[in-house]
Order: sequence, then structure tokens, then C-alpha cells
Amino acid sequence: MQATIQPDGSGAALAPEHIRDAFHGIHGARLHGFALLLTLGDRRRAAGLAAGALRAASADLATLRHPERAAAWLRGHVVRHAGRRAADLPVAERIAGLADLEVSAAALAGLAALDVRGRAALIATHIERLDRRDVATIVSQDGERLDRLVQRALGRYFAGHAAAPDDAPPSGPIANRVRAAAARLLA
Amino acid sequence: MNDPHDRFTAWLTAGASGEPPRDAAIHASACAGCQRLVAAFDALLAIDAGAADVPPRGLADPGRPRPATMRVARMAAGAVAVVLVGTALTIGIGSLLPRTTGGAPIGALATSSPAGEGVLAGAGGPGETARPAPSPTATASQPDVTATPSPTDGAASTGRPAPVVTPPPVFTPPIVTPRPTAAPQPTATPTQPAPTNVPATPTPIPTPAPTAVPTPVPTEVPPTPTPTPPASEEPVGP
Repeated sequence: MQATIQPDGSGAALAPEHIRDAFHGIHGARLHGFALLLTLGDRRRAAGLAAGALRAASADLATLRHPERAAAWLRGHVVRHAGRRAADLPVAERIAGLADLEVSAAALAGLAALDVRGRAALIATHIERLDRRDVATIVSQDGERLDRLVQRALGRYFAGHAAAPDDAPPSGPIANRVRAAAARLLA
Repeated sequence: MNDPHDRFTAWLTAGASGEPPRDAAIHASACAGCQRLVAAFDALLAIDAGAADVPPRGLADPGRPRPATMRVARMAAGAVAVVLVGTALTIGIGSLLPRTTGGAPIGALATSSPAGEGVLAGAGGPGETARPAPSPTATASQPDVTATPSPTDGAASTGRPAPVVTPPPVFTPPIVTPRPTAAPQPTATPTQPAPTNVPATPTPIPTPAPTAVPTPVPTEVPPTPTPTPPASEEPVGP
């Protein structure tokens, strides 16, 4: 098959195989990370979901030229095919699957307290910091329903996180901002 | 929402955008519960989704059946359900059929019986041959029948045209065609012949009665001539 696609502005003809390789390289790692978080560290399943989404996108690359829209489309594909129940895996195996992503045991417990759609909304909003339109594409909800979904997911994540023992003092951007705000008021 | 704890929680749940409310920030810096919430949020923000490796190519989704397979499975389940429901309906209707159709066709048969059969109406139609045909002989011999009722075949014994008298219910057996669905109850009630329609008097059998040929009466024998001497020829006596 010698059909070629002309990328915008390049003027060069690229073979579809090359475009697929580039697409895979751009989106593969982050999409795989999203799938790993969504499946709570199930490596086999996450790899299958990510590869399936990339393969499905390769069949319709002409409509997925915009990188951000393509990211949302890929994650939406993963969410739609993820199923509703997580596989039965030991917690140690899940934590090992999420080790590269720096997911603590308490954070894993918080994510496990959510359903797939709420988990996807939370990952896309607060971990990947995607645009609101992309989050709407991923979870197939928008407007106030999307806002309620994200807030409810965050509240459940807090509850799940609190149930897991984590004695480490808070350290992060939120903790630093709160300390700074209190210090300014008390000074 | 005047409680600083609630306000801090609301600020955090709304996404922790901007600066926290002042009193809520002071409260959160000393509240263990708020510190846990802050730690949870920071743990969430510390996750790096881009740190994952690239998934291998050509890997199929192993855990979930494909949509086409699911569709086929759903269609098969639907077909099985339809077949089961159809079978149940067929059995149910089949068990009800003998009651409903056992009466209706007989009623229909009763209505379809020949008109004018008061006695045999509803008995399934005895047929046209069972009716006494109005033959000229029967009407002609009507007075004679009432005059001399004879249970036996009078035509053979006597020379007169005597119609044979037979009891009506016995001689009008409805020739009921064998029907598999014929219930005994409709045939029992209407076949009780009322003697009002058929006269109690003997019914003339529509057979080629000998009354068609007038039998010569023996009294009509012509007188035999007897030799009698004429009065004018008186013997000449001595």
C-alpha cells in the first residue's frame, strides 16, 4: 500500500507506517501510564488496553491529527474497553506495577475506592492535568455533571486514602501552599 | 459553612485552585485531618503518568471479550429467550385449545345444520336422505295410515296400500360423521327427539310403496252368469 498522507505544512509525503510509528512514540508511554493507573497496576491488562487503543487510532489517523484531541480519544477508548471490575491481583503486584509512576500504597487505596469512570476523571484532571474538554471526551460527560463527577471522585479518593496507614508528613505543592498561607497570616 | 475545617475541605475538593481561605489555612496547618487530606492530594499530584514505558505493539486486550463476540453472545441469548418464550406460549395455548374449540365448532355445526330440522338441529346434520321426502304416495295414503296403523309391514300382508309405521326416534338416526372433536354433551342434548315435530303417527317410509299400483279389490269380481230360465218359458205342466 503506497498511499501517503501529507502532514500540514511539511510538504513531504510520509508513509502510513511512519506516521503510526510517530503516533505510537508520542502517545504510547503516557497512554500506558493512564491505563496502568486505571487498572490499578494490572500490567498485562494495561498494556493490552493501551495497545488496543493505539491500534484503533492507527486505522483512523487522518482524523486524529491534533495531539490533544488524539490523547483524549485514546484515553476514552481505554476507558470504554476497561470493563467495570478490576482483576483480582495481589496488592504487592499492583504496587510493583505502579512503581515507576511513584504511586504510594495509600494513593493506590484511594484510587481503588473509585469506579472506572471516576478514576479516569480523577487521573485526567489532577494527575495528567488535561484540558476540561479532553476530560469530558474521556469520560463522556460534560458540564455540571462532569464537575460533580470529579468532585465526588476526589472525595472518595480522600476517604480511601485516609483508610490506608500513611504516617509520612505531607510534603508536596499543596502542603507547601498551605504552610505558606498560614505563615503569612501569622507573621 | 462557617467551620474552617469544612471550608478547607471544600477548597481542597474543588481542586485546590488559588490560595486557601485565610482562617482555613491557619486551621489546616494545625488540624490532623486536614493534614491527611493535604497529604492525599499531594500523593495524587506526585504520580507521574508519563513515567510508564511504551506498551509493546501487537498486544491484544486479553481480559475482556471483544465487542463483536459480546454482540454475538447477546444475540444468541436473545434468540434462546425468544424460543423459550415461544415454546411456553405454545404449550400454554395448546392446553387451552380443547376447551375453547371443543364448544365453538359444535355450535358452529349446529348453526350449519340444515334449516327446518328442529329435532336434529345441533346434532351435526343428519343428512338430506333422512328426511321424509314428500312423495305423492305418502300424501295420498295419509287417511289410510291413520285408519289402520299397523306396526308391521302391512303392504306385504294385505293387499291394501298400508304404509309401514315405525317409531320416529328409531328411524331417524342422525348419521353423525365421526369427528374427533365431537364432545358427547352436545350430541346428547339435542338429539332427544321431541315427538311434536315429527308426528306421533307412523311415518311413512319413502319406499316404493305398492300403493302406487292400485290393487284390485276382490269384491269387484264380475258376477258369474247363472242359468235361470226365463219367466216366459214356464213349463207346461200337465
